[in-house]
Amino acid sequence: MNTKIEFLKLSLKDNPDFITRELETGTKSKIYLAFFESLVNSETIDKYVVKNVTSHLNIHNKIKDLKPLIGGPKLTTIKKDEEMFYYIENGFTLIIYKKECYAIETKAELDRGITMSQTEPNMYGPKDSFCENYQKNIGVIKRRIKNKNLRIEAVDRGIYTKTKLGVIYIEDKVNKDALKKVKKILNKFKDYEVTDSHDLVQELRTNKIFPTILKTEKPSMAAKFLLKGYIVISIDNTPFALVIDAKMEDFVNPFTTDDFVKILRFVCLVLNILTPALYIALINFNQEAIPSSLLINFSTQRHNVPFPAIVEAFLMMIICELLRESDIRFPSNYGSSTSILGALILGEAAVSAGFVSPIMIIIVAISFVSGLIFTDIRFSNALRVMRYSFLLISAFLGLYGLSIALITTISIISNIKLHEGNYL
Amino acid sequence: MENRQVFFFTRTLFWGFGLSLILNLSGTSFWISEIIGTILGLIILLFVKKTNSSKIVRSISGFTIALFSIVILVNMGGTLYLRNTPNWLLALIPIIGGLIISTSRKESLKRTLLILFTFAFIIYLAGSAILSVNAKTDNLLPFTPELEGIIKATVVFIVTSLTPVLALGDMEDKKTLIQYYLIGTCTIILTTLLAVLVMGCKEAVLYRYPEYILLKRIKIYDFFTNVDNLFVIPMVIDFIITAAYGFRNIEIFGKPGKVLFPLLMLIISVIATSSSTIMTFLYWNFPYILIFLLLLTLFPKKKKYKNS
Amino acid sequence: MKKIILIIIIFFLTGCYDYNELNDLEIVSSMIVDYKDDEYEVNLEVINTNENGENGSFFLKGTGKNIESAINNVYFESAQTPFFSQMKALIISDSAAEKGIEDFYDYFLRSADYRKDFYFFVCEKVDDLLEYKTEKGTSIGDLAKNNAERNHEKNGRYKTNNFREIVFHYLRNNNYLIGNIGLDKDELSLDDSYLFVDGKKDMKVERDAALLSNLLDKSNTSFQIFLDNSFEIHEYKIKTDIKEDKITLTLTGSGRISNSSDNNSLDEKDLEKINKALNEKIEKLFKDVIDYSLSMDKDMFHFNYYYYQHYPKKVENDSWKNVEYEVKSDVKINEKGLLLRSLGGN
Repeated sequence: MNTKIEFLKLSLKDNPDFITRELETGTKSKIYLAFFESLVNSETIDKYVVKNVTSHLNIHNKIKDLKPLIGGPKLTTIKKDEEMFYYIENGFTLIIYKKECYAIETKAELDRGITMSQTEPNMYGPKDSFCENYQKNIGVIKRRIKNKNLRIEAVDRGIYTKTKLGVIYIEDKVNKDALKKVKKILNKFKDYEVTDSHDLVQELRTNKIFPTILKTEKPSMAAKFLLKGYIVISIDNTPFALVIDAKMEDFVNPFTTDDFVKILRFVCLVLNILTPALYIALINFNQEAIPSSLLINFSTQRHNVPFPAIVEAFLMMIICELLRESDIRFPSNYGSSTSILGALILGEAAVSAGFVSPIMIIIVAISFVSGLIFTDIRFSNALRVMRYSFLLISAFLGLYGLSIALITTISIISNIKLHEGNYL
Repeated sequence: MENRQVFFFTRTLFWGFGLSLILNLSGTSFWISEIIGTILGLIILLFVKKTNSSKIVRSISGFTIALFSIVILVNMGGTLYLRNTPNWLLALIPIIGGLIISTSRKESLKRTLLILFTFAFIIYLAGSAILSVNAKTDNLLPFTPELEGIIKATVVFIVTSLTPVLALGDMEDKKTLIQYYLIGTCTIILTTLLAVLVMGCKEAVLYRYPEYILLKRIKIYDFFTNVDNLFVIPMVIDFIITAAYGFRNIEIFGKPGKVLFPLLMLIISVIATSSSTIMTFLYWNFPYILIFLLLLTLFPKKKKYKNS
Repeated sequence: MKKIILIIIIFFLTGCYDYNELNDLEIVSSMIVDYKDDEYEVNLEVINTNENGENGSFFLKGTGKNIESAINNVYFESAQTPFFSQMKALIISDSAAEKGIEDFYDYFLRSADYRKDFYFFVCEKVDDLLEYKTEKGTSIGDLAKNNAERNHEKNGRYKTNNFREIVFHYLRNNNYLIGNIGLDKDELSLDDSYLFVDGKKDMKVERDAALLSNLLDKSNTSFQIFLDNSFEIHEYKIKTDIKEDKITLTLTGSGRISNSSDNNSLDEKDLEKINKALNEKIEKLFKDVIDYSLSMDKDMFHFNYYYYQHYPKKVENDSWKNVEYEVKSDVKINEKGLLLRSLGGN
């Protein structure tokens, strides 16, 4: 018996999907095939190995040389015994004959293929998205950038997971210092496990509140960022690519170059952050700035509400946050009863019960609807932090505190450090 | 290195102190003293090559200028907007804000200043454009120039606009320094001009803060009235940026100094704003303090003679 | 991390000092001041924000020796704090106007609660005004202010000043006009203007004098002149030329015929005649008004201040009387309206 196959069988004896097969060669030694049934496409084994060997045997009665008989594009010779485990865990099939060991790629299609993107819908433009297969992701990017300066450096991460990472950049456009720093960090954490892109984001980000890494599902966006000189990291088993060192304008304006839409998005950013705080500051500290007919209108509406305005504002915003969070996680097959419930609570019942005033609902609705423009969840979380802190400050100190807080936040945001370059 | 912060430095000490003092001293001939003041200030800036850069002088000048700006801000906020809030809370917020801004890096400060400069300039221009509809040129008319008043007002103008620039500005890039100094003084001249044209000289002299009362006259039809609290944001930006740069200049005492000096500033500003004798004393005599600081910064460093 | 905790703790230790809840405010729309039995009586008109109320506003009363203590004593009747920044009108009774309003200036100027653009009115029968019931959504102050502004812009024969302008005139030792407000068959009406000298009510002023005063202050956009034919003059400009012994007022502008009663075709020659007649009439009208003011010995149009602006060293209190006055009018009629020929007259 072959020592290698014995060694394999001993090490992997607890795996019920580890299969071995013997093929006759007409001599004393046999050809052994070893593979994991869950990872392998059995038709390719048949096509590349079994048929070639049996047809050769039918014509000649002996096999002298195995290597020219094996079909398939990727054939590697394995020299060390430890490497066998790496290949067999990656979906390769081991062919052991006398003292030689070969591996051919026979991976099964365990992913969903290239489908339409679900989190970033696009009206006019390509609709394909990344999938969970590393080679397919790289292929889709390479279809768009056909230059020899496109470099891909592959890194394996983790002891148990051995996830494949690809650091992609264009050689003559990238910033060399940033590349060095990124590689250093990836090297430092070489033994840490990576199952999801979230683990990598924790290591590579430079600020805890504001996101500096952009996640995208579309290869057209990844190609756009590559051409601007950013570094893109593609991870095996995740349909997202990470763009390192993204600036704030890439979060606010990822898609368009149309001037009007850019201004509109900027206005929505300001409305999202400032509307509740401005309303509280005007109503409670600065009532003379509101025209008198509007003020009488507000006063009549708030006549029966028992809470002060700040408490009302906080209540409404927390209810809206609950609704939004449940909307993201709830499976859509259960129907739209949750949204009807939310609309009923917010719209009709709360106002007619005298719980909140109608104007507060309008203010909170403006703030939320303008926040729905930003699709990145971590950016919305950062905006939420700003929104609540501005609300708190304006509730205690009015426009005085609000203006000082605005100035300090502008300086704090522009002080955020990226690996290279400025955030704002 | 662009010197955009000089625009804010030239304007800070005028709000609350400088502008009403100039109107008090010179009456309807303020424009003579202001124009002569800018020209003389320009000449002084062109000739000065180096300022005193020893640690003690920079710390003292930074501390006093930051203290001035916070005292003015607290006083204005405390009498015009939030009348019942205690002074220590009103003083604590800008000190914290100034501290946070002062710990930024140079490149990020550049970008912050670009955003703040455009924002403040646009709001200022919009406010002035709306106000200029109500301007009546008759208000300049009883033109009675007095030599003594004009000279005093010129000196006050030069001192209030130049001292922060020389103490806190970066003297290496002279071209942008002069450029932003001119823009700053032009906005001050425009504000005093509008104050007299819209309100009249006698009434502008009555008020303690004529530049704020001027903003109360902004009106578009009947809808957009009483919005002076939104148009006062350029002034707030001036105060905070000056305080931040003042904090950056304090270099003695190292790390415990970073906690000690803000506390000291808080205590002094609360004492000063709570007593009206100190505030009236400051109002009439603050140019002398600024002249002292100006001479300190211009006086060259003593050379040490080596023993041969 | 510690910095953030410190800041948050400081915020929660403070409490809210200047925080005014909107439900706790009474929005004052106008203030009615009366002087009876050596005491000031102040009535604040507060807007009704209750949905079930019938009227638009109700009154709160306070009395005191001077106006500040009277306003303070309103607290005995009110459940909430009065809010003055939306105040639109201040109505003074005859007795308070004869006592003088110069005591009010410092109080209203110094306080940051009041906005300085509320209008002054004089009222003869304050008690009738106090019983006037407004409809839902309006108040006396609102109606009075809107009425006064429309009058200033379009009619021109009624004049009242707001507080800012009164201080402006007070600092220059000028006399100023304050208009009248009254009830005419259960509706608010504004009809006459009174002249105030040294803060006290002096005499009633003709309507054409009020028109000239409005023109000099440039508060009109257009005004109308009535003759055999009537004209509307818009885009006008008044220039005052002041020399040491003569003051000339020149009025230039463009006019539009609003009613032509002659039976003619309004050719160029006819237009020239009508134009000339109009200019002569305007000159006579305003000259009569100035003569009236000279004869009454009261400086209604603050000519003394114009003289002071140009000759600050030679001016005295009587300088305006020793000067010759001339009025020139150069109005051109260039619009005839929709008709080619005139239809009226017989």
